[in-house]
Amino acid sequence: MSLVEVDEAFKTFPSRQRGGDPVRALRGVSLRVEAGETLAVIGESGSGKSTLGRAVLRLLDLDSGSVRLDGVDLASLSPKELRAKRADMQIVFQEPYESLNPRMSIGAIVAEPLQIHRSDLGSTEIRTRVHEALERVGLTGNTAARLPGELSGGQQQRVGVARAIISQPKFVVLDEPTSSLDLSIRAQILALLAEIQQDLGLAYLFVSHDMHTVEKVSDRIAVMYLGEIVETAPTLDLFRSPQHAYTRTLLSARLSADPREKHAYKAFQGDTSVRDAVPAGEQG
Amino acid sequence: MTETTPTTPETVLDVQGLTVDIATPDGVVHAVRGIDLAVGRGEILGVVGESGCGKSTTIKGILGLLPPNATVGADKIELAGHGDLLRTPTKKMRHVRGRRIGFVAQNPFGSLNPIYSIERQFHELQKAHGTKVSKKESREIAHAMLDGVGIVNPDRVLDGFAHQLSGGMAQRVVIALATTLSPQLLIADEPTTGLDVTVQAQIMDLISGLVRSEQRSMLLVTHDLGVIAQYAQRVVVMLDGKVVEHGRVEDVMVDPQHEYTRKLISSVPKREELHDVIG
Amino acid sequence: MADLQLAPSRAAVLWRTAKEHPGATLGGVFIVVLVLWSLLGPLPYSSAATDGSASRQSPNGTHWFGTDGTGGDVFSRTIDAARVDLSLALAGAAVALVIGVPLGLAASTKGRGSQRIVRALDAFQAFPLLILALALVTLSGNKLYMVVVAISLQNIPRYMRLLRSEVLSLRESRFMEAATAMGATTPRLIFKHLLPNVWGVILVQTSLTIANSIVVLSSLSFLGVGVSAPTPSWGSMIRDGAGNMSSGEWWIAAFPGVAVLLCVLAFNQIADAIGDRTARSYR
Repeated sequence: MSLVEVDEAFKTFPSRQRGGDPVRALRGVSLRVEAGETLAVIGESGSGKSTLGRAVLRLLDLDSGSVRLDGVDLASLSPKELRAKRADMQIVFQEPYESLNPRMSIGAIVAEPLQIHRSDLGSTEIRTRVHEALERVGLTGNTAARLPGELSGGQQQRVGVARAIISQPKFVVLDEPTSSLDLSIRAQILALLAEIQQDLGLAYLFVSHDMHTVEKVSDRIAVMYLGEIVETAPTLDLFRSPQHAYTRTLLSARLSADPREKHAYKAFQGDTSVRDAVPAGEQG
Repeated sequence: MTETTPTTPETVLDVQGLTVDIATPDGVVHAVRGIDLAVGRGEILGVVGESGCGKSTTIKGILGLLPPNATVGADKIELAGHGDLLRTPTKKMRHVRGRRIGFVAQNPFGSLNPIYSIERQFHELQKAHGTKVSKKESREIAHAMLDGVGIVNPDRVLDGFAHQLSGGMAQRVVIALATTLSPQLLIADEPTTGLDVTVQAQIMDLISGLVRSEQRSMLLVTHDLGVIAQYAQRVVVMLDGKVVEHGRVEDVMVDPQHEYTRKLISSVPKREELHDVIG
Repeated sequence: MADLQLAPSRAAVLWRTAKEHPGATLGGVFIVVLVLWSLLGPLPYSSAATDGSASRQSPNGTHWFGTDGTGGDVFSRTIDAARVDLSLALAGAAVALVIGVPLGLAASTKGRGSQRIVRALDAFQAFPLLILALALVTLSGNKLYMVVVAISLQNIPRYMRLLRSEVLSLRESRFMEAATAMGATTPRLIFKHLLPNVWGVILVQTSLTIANSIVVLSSLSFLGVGVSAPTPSWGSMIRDGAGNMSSGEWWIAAFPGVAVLLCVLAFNQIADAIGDRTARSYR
């Protein structure tokens, strides 16, 4: 049994434009995440990767298919049981500032999962753990008194990480956790996430559009395209011998920071390059 | 470092000692603190740096697009065939932008007027710059321009509106608009940030093709070292409103001299490092 | 857990806001002085006193705002009217707040019930509300509590609409999603995450509501409904003085009119300052 098991997940959203076709965000997605590993889900906009990240946490309900954590089907849980289960599964968002309540102090934000799930802890114990969590993500204890707006983007994302790990989850969805950050900050956050994973034995589902990032952090990669996983492979294998034509297109679109490695972009029939050349109303 | 200074035949844009001071309620911020830039004909000059380094402020200063609380100073901002932009009155700058300098911003939907059809935006652009064209001629020009940026069905796009376009398509339209009046210099501010990677590769191929084929010049501002390494010929690295390193891309990106440049380049994940971090 | 609380002290925030918005500060001082003076006195004359020998005097040393048709002191009556006018306006706004906010929250859920509430609201607001208020107060036999009811009826839909639009956009925000992902219960989502983020706009709306209530109240008493003689109110004073305007005795109607104007201005200024403060504290 794997830690996370997704089977035949389907999800369709009504069209945003009047009279448009419904958006089929997930079209039969199945995946496994083992305890302690990082599975990256890579795809471009409209691939359904963010929908998948939320469906795995049951932040949205699937049309059909199942998600199991520790063998427990999340759809079978009552609202109360599901809330309790959320201590084991957490999420870090792409937008660090937007994901923090602007009216709450950093301390209150990080303390919240404990207040929800650990009613057995006294306020002194909660405070100690909040300070530990903040130090764990490289922030000083006195950050607790500040408001989200007073921190830099990198610091805000560290708060997001502290909040995600304080309830000691087994599984964390990382939804593009570094894509809104500057390059040097990005490297620090990735290193922090890797360190935390080793210490706590966490499993990550790393949702990303960036091949460079995914290459560095993942054990395995699942490539999503138009609501389907077209290829799943160990990271090294995927880069060495991509099997699906779309994976090859994605790899060829990477721009190396070394000018000696010239890229040669190869478009792939039926991919975004073609969609891109058709007015949005005709896409589908 | 630049013993083989690329002897570009002609300098199209020559900026020396550019400073931008911004007055805020908490005092004056020195956003740009004396930078020099020169863009040669047929060349893409990359300006790279992290957020807050002043790279966007720099190009807005050159274009005269800063808000009134900003003060631009420079020894000169010389545009070949026109003169000093710093001494160009605000009214005339409107004609410089569009006719002599084409601008491509990060968010194409911010550059397109949501309530005008794409065709009308081409027409308005030409009218605004005093080109006397009939609607028919304007449409023909627009059609050719869209065709030139790789849009498959220009007629459909011309009759449509911005919100009907995907991000990549909208950016192609913006590039077509920016090059309609054949400016010799293009300035692009993060032109592919926010686009999908496959679309980014296509747009950058398009831009570099436009620069090369017409012997135009381009000032390309980005935070993406991959874009610089693959498309620019020379690069300027900015930090805290100053240039810390500049030179040919092959030199700077392969053998960076300044510590900050080294740090920037090393934070891009490299293939060799694969899994070293996590083990 | 001092460090788990909000960071800047409230007094400090208030002081900074006051310095940055002199109009609102002035308005606030004006309202406080007016309320205290009307409640505690002393007034130069009793507001009920009449003096047939001194009727319709223009403003002078003994009667600063002049006297009205019965020889009452316009100054004393204008100040005294604040007691009943402002307290009724505040009460109306408070009732609207207490009822409108929970109803607004109920109207911003996803279910079909919320759609119905919104439609009922549309129908209700299609009524000419001033006439409704007039009818209510008249039919009740000029009971003052009905004036409060009438004012709150006018303002409850505004609170509901405001809450609904704010909550609908906040519900989609990342931090609400984060709280859901954390396992927060619905009451926690509402009281910890939603309400603190709409509190600012609620305060702005309340200030505007008070200003609006003062106008409604004055309109009612101008029409002879609600507050009745001998209790002075600005609306009835304006009505009493309106007839004298043509004969040049402007002061009888003008001073209570200016009082209404200044109060409305003051509450609008305060609303502006709160709005500005709220918008900026996100940064």
